Amino acid sequence: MSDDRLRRELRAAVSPAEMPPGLAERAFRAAMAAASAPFADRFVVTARRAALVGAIATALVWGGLFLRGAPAESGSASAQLDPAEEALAVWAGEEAPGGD
Amino acid sequence: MEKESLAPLAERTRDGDPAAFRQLVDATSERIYRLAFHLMRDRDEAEDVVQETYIRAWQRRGDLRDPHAVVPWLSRIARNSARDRLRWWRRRPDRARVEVESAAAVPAADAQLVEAERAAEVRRALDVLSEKHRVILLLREVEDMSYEQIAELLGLPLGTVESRLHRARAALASKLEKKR
Repeated sequence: MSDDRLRRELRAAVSPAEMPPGLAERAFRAAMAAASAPFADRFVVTARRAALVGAIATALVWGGLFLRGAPAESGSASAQLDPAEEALAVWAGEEAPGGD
Repeated sequence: MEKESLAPLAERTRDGDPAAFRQLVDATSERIYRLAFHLMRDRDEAEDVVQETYIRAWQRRGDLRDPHAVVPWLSRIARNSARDRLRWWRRRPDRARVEVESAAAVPAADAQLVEAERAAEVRRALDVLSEKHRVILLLREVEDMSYEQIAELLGLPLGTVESRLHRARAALASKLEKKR
């Protein structure tokens, strides 16, 4: 079979590739989008870690404040109550003689 | 755009310049599409291969050693992407791949029917040809690419292109002769 005939038969059997319009643009955009995907993945992992560390740190700070602050508060509360009670007692004591 | 003018773009792409990469895509995507089309023999599949090629090329731009050989480098990526897709298709249980794109329209008369049958024979003969013979033959005879363009695209010496084409023509002719 001659080369010419082979060529004719091939051209009759297989169509030439016609590049779809806009393919270069789509390929470029796909490459850029795929390149930014790993960064996005890394960002999500980093953000999760940061959130976890932040939550633990906040819990520790509040826990520490609670543990340190509770006795002081209770101490001051008693300190504030005692004078009040004392004052009430004093008032009651003063009123009692006058009222009676 | 010739090899020499692509080299600076390839160099800048390797350095991570998206604008240069954009120009490189514009300058090379048609050749890569033709190759992908004849590897996959389906327009949509070829389009996917082209996109995958440039995604991989951008991700692996640091691997490009010789900026003057950017076209063979891209074509190697395209051939690997095409093989990956074909392998994926073969693993699928419903291997309903779209038939080879045909140049012949639906036949309306006997003569057209004969032509369509002959075209189908040629496509079946192409199916059993090795990939390297089939692709080089289609790039030359259907896409009308010059020997130099094929050599650049496939990263082959000119002599190899000539000898491979000769063997490919002989192989296809012998398969078609047998069917007569």
